[in-house]
Amino acid sequence: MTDHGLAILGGLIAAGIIIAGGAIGAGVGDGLVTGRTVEGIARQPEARGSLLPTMFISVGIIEAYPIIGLVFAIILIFANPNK
Amino acid sequence: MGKLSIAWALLHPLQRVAAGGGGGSDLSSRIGEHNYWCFGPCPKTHTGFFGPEFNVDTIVMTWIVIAIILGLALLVRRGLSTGAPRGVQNLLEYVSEFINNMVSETLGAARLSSIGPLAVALFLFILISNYIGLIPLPFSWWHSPTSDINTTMGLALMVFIIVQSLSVGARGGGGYIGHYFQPYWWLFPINIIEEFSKPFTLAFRLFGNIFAGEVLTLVLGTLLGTGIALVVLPFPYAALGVGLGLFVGGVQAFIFTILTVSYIGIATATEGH
Repeated sequence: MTDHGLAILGGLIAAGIIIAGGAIGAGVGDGLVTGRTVEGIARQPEARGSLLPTMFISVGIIEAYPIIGLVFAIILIFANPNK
Repeated sequence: MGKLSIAWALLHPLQRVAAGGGGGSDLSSRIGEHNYWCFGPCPKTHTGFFGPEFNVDTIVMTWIVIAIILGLALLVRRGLSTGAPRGVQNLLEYVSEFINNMVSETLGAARLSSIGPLAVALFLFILISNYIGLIPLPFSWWHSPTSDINTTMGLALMVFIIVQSLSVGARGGGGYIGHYFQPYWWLFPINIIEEFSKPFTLAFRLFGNIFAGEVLTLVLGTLLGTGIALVVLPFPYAALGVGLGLFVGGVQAFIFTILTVSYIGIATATEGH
């Protein structure tokens, strides 16, 4: 296996690990946030108007790092610096 | 030398450079493409952080976004009515009221006149920048300006400079340096890292979300079939892609704005600490 092939292989495996880790983290985090929001709405349906925007903001912030990882994974797959 | 070389440099034609691997119009070399323009011929490799390349397609898209926003504002201003608003004025008033409410909730009503316009301008620019890339025009250079890291990093650096200047203004120079050592002096490196990572996360969050949407659109557009399937098959997936782009674009614009307002609130809080 040439060095170049090894570099590409390493890049592809790394991209897979990045995306898998990001998906797991985002799934767990978003699940926790949404679960607590649903509990809050079930306890007090009038608070829905103030709980929902907070939930969307939290999801947006939590998803930031998995998406940053996705950008790195795309670079590794399509634009690998080792060509 | 002198004027002749400037003219020669300026008239150098636009060059389209792919991110990885030259040539070919297959999918993998089109992901990170931009129309470059350099002072003189573009070097084969990027020559550094402040390399001499300009992404002309992103600059032109930014001008288009600015033209749209200014056009809407002038259109509304021409027929301004104080009764029940209709049409474009209604939309702009809704957006402005929504953001101003958020600002006054976070910072208090006294700061509304100074921070409110900044927040509305930021929100409108990012929102329209995110949405403009979803329009399927047959120009190869049509894309969201916020799908370029240069735009989002520029916005984040502007926010960083604003926050630090307001912090110095509220606390004074000595208080500004001193607040990095609060509440314990050995938290100084952590405070510095936290302060400098804020613009980076702002920039990369927005860039990542919009760039991922653009890659999705590019990949869905090449979902192949033959004959009638070539026309019909991509449409449901493309509709999903545009729907996701609408949702993500709106949420990310709002998050950028609300985080900016929160950072300003944290940086200028003079009581407590």
